Amino acid sequence: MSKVIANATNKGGEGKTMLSILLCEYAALVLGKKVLAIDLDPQANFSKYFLNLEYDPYYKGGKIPPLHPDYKEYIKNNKNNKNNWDGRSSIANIFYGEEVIPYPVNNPIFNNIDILPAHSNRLQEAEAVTKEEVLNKVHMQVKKFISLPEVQAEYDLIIIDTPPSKGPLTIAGIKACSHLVIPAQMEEDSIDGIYGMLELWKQETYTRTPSDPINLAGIIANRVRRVSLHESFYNQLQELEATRDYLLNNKIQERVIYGEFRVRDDCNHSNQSVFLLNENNIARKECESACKTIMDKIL
Amino acid sequence: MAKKSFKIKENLTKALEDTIASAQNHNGELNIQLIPIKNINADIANPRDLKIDLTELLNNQYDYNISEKNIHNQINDNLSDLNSLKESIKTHGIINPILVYKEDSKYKLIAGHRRTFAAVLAKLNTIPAKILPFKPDELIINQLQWIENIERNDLDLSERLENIIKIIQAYKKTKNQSDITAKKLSELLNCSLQQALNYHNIITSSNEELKYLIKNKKINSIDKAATIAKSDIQIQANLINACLNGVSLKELKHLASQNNNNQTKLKSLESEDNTKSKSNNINQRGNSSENNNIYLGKTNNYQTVKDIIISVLANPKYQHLVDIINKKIQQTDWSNSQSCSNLFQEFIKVIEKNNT
Repeated sequence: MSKVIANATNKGGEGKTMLSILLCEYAALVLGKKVLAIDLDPQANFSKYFLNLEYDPYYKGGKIPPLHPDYKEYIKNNKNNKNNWDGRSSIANIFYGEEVIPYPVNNPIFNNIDILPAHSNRLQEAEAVTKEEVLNKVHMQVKKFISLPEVQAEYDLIIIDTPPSKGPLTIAGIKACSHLVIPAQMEEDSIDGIYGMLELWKQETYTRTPSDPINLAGIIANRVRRVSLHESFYNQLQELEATRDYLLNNKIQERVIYGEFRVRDDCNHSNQSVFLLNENNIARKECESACKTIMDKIL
Repeated sequence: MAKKSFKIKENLTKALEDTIASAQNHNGELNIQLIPIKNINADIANPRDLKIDLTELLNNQYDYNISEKNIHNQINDNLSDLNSLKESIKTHGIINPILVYKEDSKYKLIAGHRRTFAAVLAKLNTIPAKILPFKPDELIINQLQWIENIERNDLDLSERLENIIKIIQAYKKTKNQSDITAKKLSELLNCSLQQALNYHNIITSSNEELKYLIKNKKINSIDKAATIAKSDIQIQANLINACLNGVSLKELKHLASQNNNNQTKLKSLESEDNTKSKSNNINQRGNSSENNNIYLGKTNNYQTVKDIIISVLANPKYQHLVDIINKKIQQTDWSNSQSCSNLFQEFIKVIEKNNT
């Protein structure tokens, strides 16, 4: 059974996408696993890291997946474009009953990572269903998709990035996962956000069966700085009996290099990765140690 | 520079603790799914003795016309009982999920037999079910069935006793004990201690006739049955006859206490400790285990009560009690029958105290 990790918080800026990226790269490069990345966030930042997204010409401000590498071949073999494929594929397709074709990521070093990217507008539309329909049309769709034998057979690990909200897309990610990770800054509103996420996790545990559990793989202190604010909150979470077992000992500090690696200008930073830095590099070490702790719980 | 200190708010700390504890403690409790009815095995050992077979019903082997055979009558009786439930399910669906556990590829039914049968009659193929991940132990199954059925008050005394006996046996087996206290029974059944005592008295009674009559539904009141079971063995036959003749519970209790009193009187005449030597009447009344209450009837007209009290107080020998009774009258809410009853009871107490 493929393991499915969902990174979720309803507050923005906690480092969900960063953590999703790290887990994908760690599992692929260090552990040698075949990974499927799923981007449920209309903001599409997870997708943007791995692919050259384009701006949606019809819905300004939104992003769409690029043309699929297999599209040229497809056109050759389907001269009259029987199936009417526009050459793009997004995870949003599953909410419309359409098939999906994962993309290999740009960075050739990570040839064992595939991604089902976001499509900003289509994902937003998918969320806009009525309350009655949301359970069947959205909540269970990602889980259903992941349960397909083809998907289970192809990937060891599936990593889902969710939008900063508690809406239908986030819920769909939580319902599909076997393991939940909650990244959080050690600040006032972020701690509140942890509570909100734990409530969602709790509700989900009620409906799972022993053969299909949802484990809280970890609460991870992210974007940490050496200030008493962050230290206070971290220590208190560690002392609290309820959260002690879930709070990772490994923190991830706020570092410029993480921001630099996300830049997607035309100078092609795409071949960089934290895990390709010098093995004594402090950023690499802290990311390896955090990812190792999480992956040890999962695999 | 002093180091700054920051705290997580206490209510957030509490909230975090509660949420995580709930998640850990209630894992899997809301696993409710629609399951196919044909995958359900009805558990025969359910106190609601339906005498309908689920598989036969599914295979439509029942002729819904009245049949002459005794057994068929029972089945048809049960079927017509289920008709109103069937109609309700057709309109509203099943409101409460049934309770099952999974065993291999089948779902074993713990509670919800009527709903399941009615769903078949309503021609449904699936039914919402809360699914326990594994078979609970025998004691818990019996308790679950008890909880499910007793809330609805339509089990008769005989069915209830049967289920309680099963619970007791399962308890003894699980805890490896040879007996059960009434207190423990009240916990298992989630009923009052008095109820548990009643059940216990009936179950442990050696009176075979009583048990026979309960089983054949001739005696259906638990209070009457308990009154009989705990009274002296010699008078139980009389009490049973009275019960079958339709006396009220009050009268039955009265009969039971009267007979006991006669016994007490006989014994005291024989003994050296003659109660006549005790001149204090109140003490003697208090000493005997039963009482000689005179019942003053009942009314729903508060004016009657007022008239009686005022007339009695008009008697010069009670004049000194007028003030104290007036105080109680002022505290009485005449629109409330309980308040009036309390007043009259107080009134009698005052009069009696005065007369002794």
